[in-house]
Amino acid sequence: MSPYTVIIRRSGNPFELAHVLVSWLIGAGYDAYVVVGCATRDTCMAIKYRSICADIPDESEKKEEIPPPDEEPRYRLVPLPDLTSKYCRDMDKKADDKKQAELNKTEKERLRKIADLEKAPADAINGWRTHAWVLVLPGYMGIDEPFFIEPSEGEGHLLDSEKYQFIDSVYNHENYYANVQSTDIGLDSLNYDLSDLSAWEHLLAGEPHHRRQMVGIDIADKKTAVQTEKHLDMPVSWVEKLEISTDEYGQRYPGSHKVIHYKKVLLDKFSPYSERDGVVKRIRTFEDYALTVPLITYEWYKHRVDKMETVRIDHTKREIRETFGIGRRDHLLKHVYSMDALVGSVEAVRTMEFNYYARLDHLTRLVCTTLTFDEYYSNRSDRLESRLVIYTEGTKETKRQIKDVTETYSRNHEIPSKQDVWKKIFHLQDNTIELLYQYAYNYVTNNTRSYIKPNLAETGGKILFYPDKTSGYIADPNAKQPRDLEVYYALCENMEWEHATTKQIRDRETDVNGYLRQRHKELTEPMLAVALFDTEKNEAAKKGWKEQEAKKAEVTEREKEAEIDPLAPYLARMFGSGHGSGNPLTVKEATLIREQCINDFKSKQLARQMLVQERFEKLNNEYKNKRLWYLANQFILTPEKESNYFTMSAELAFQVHTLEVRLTRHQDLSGPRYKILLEYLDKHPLLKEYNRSKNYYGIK
Amino acid sequence: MTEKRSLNSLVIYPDIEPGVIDNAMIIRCILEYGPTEEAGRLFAEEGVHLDEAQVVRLEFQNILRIDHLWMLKSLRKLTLAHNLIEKIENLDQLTGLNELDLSFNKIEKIENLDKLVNLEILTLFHNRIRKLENMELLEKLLVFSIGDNIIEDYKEMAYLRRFRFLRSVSFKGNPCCDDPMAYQFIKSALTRVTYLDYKIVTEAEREDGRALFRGVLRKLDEADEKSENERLAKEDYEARVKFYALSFVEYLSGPELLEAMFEKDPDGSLLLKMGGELNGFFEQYKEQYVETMAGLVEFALEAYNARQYEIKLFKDLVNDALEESVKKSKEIIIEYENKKRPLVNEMQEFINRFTTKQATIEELEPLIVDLGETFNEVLYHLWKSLMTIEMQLYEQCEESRVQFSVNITEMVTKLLEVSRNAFGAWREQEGVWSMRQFEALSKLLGNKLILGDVPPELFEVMMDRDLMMNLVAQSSDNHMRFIDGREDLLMTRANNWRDELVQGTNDNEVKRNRDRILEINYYIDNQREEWTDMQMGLTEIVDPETVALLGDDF
Repeated sequence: MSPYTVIIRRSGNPFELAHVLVSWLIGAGYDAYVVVGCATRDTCMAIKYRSICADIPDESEKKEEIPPPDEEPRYRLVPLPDLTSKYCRDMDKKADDKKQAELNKTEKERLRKIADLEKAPADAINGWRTHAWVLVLPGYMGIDEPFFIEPSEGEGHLLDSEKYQFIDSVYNHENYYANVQSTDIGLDSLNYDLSDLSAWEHLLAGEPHHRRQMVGIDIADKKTAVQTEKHLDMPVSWVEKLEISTDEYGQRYPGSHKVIHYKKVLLDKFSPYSERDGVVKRIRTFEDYALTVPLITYEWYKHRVDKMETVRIDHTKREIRETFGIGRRDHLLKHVYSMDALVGSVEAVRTMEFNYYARLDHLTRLVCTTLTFDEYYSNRSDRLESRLVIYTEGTKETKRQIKDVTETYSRNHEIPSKQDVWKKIFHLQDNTIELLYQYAYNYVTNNTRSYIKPNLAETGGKILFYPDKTSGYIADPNAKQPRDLEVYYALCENMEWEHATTKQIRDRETDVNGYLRQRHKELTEPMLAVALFDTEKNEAAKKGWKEQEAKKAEVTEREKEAEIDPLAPYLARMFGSGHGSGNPLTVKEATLIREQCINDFKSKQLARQMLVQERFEKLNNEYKNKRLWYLANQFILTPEKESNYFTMSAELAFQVHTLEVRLTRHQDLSGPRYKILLEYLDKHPLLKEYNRSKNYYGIK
Repeated sequence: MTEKRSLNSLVIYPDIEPGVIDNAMIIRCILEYGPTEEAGRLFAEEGVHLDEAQVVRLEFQNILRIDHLWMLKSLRKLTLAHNLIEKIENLDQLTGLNELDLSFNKIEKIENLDKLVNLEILTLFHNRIRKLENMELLEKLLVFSIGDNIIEDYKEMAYLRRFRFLRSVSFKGNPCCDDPMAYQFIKSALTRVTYLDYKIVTEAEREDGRALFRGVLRKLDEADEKSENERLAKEDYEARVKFYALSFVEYLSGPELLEAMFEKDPDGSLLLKMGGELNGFFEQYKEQYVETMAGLVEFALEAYNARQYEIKLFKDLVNDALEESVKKSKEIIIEYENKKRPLVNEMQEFINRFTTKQATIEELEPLIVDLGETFNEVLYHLWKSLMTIEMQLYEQCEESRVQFSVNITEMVTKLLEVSRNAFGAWREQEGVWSMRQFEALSKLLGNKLILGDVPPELFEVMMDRDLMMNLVAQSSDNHMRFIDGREDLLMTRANNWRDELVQGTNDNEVKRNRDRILEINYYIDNQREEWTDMQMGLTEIVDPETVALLGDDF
């Protein structure tokens, strides 16, 4: 089958696939060849379930190593004296090493066993399976090393890949090269210089055009050149031009869907927009080879309105992790929650990460569990870093209640540490407030202050101060104890603060509930976004265009209908209005009307010409007079008058010029216009009789 | 005017005897305007701390003289409105003052405000001032009220142009306000003022005034520009001197110092008037001097950078080590608190059992003693760990400190060596100059013809060989002394700087170490006290003997 047919049918054997791929590669400027040779069974039959899926995202954490400083530091700390026994340490190390070695050994043994079991069953015709794949040689498009491409999967392989065993020959549109080297030593040690005749036998003598060396040949004379440099050219391809339409390209896979079965992994690929929820790739990993116990599912999405990009479902931990692109209304970036979590409830285990930069409240992270609700902030102007809430356990009738609130603030270096609060802890159930202040320079303890809140109901809403209901520790032994007034002010402030904070927590819970409801809706009714300029998929726009086009067509239609009939007024004069589509006129009537029409047209043209001519002359005279006046008075004029004259004369000159143009145009056009009128009248349906007789009599 | 007076007298307490400010009055006023309700109670209980009061309002007190305000050290806002003050005085101590209100008094002259450099708001409404003066040093002035005074010439207001931050001026009620030109002038002259009489000044209004007073304004602008340029140049020069002073080579770049030397030496200047050949030599001398010193200055600047880098290296090391030790200590304290919590809970339970009569004191006593011992052990462990960390930190840094002082000393020594060379070269140049001067002058000695048109003093000198030689020697001596002085200055400053740095580093470290140890012990004491208090809570109800018994352990 020709590559063209392969593309239409969307299937083919390895040779056909290799032909298509090589055609594309050569078209794109690569030095590519179809390789004919032998390959393993798995390669020939496109069996993947023994190979590892390369698409599984790497989740191991990367460790960044800090490079050691360039120069030896001039100052360093004296190392502490080491008081442990070297002998003991050595002995411990030896024992550890031994244990580790044993462990390694058993581990190795285990791995070897697994590898054994996973090995493909023996193949009776191993080394005899013919296969075709693609070789790309260096020298073009920035390629430095030769490598293979497997056409059935589109992946590159190194020359020493175990998939391929022997090479018989390679070829492309220019020549066919048979391999005369032994391939027993491995494909990577072959000589891939195709012009080397000791390694590759050519079917057609000579090198293809781009590799031909014109040494010692007189290129100037074409004839001698061709005769001296002897080579044969491959016949030109008879295959039709390969083409893939946008629509077909959009489908990606036959039926817009492809499944690949790797070792313990299923990989689904979908073309964009083919699925209702916008999934483009899904990887499912399994515990066993029979694919029954799922481990982790990864999904990639595209074009979703809710900006969801990936989903990771961990079936063992029963945890779902969604990531989002920026630009959501709630600026959510990441949402991790348990599969068992109650839909849309904050009282479940979940973590939400936000794009704090775009949020007014600078919320970075939210961590909820059944009994806690932790908010983390970044770069807030009030220096709040986190607010951790602990709830009491709720029963069926009563909702959970706030038990403790802990707010942490970062250090404000503009005020002394003794005034800078580090942590505010509100024990709502115990009616106490604890304040921890920031650590001062060189201090290992910090100031603290705790209050037992006065009962406002007893004092009529006034905050009273009792020295025995507050206690505190001052880290600086030399500092004075704080005044009662200051302590009292701090109490008042924090009681108010507690009130505000609890309100904020409630508001936040409401907010988050809203987000979660929204998420639920987005998940259950997925929507895909279509780019504004996508002519295929943008339904609304398409409809709009169609409507517009229809309207346009309508307008042109109407225009056509409302064509002006220059005879209409004359007809109306003779027969009254509304005669437009009546019977043809008699010859006599027609002559009369025709005469009238033509005469009127002529006289009108003439009158217009006269008018323009007259105006032109008048203005021209005026202009000339002005000019004469100026020439006479040139030297006695004030600058003001002179500039006045210039502006006026420029204006006049312009008007004269305009009239002149109009005049010539009129003269040029009046002839053709008259002709058009005559032609029109000759074809006028109402004057049919007249025209016929005119033609008959040959009247001109 | 009479109406206003009567209004005034209505408001003023007639029963207060006119007098001066005294302590009682200040305290009364502070209390009166202080916080109210519960806060007020606490405020009053504590007593008034005069040196901490930030705002004091002494209004309607019939004060005749300002006095007794020096104890209000941290005062920021002072209101003396509605009194009978006639003279601004005794405010020199209140340098932190930010806002001063002297309206509704009988002040006739603005004076004695020079020390209040931080003043931003000054209100002199309704006084008897005729002239704006003596406010040059109030550079931060932002709001100024001079309404209802007796300024007769509105051109007086041009005085306010010097305040670069002035934004609001109130002026209404002066006699010259009747002149329609007055406002136009003020609006156009005070270009930086945004609000005049609490109304915004529009650009159009300014423009009107500008057209009217073009000549006057131009003159003012020119004067302003000149003073502004001078100010900038001066600032610039001072900044440069300051910068060079960090490298100990201030005034050494350029011929400045050499010129200063000749200025200070009348003999040398006199001889220089001889002119002719001498001028050429002088120019040569100057050039050589500038070159020598440029080398020194360059080296000194480099040395300065090197020293700063050295200091940074050392500081970084010490700070990192300190941070590390603080972190470790904090961890240990947290650990301790975790150990302490169950002990406290247990103790609480004992107390509960006792108060609910589930157990007698005799039963509980051994348990409590045991618990106390455990607590003591934990506390001792805490103390030991914290002290170990601190001791380690101190010892670890010690060697670096010694090394640092050695390095810095070396650097300073190198700088001094270079400077010695430079000054030596200068002395040599001075010697050459002196010799050349002598030779040149000797040639002309007694030559009346050539000396005809020199100043008479010089003529006299040149007629007498001894006199001339003396003069030359004297001048040379003067110069040498001057050079010695400058070199001495450089050396002492560099050495002092080094001593201070090294000593300061040591002192700081010692102080830091002591502070930390003090803090640790203080914390431990505090914890122990807390524990004892808790035991007391139990034993208060019991007879004092048991208390004594239990208390022995602590």
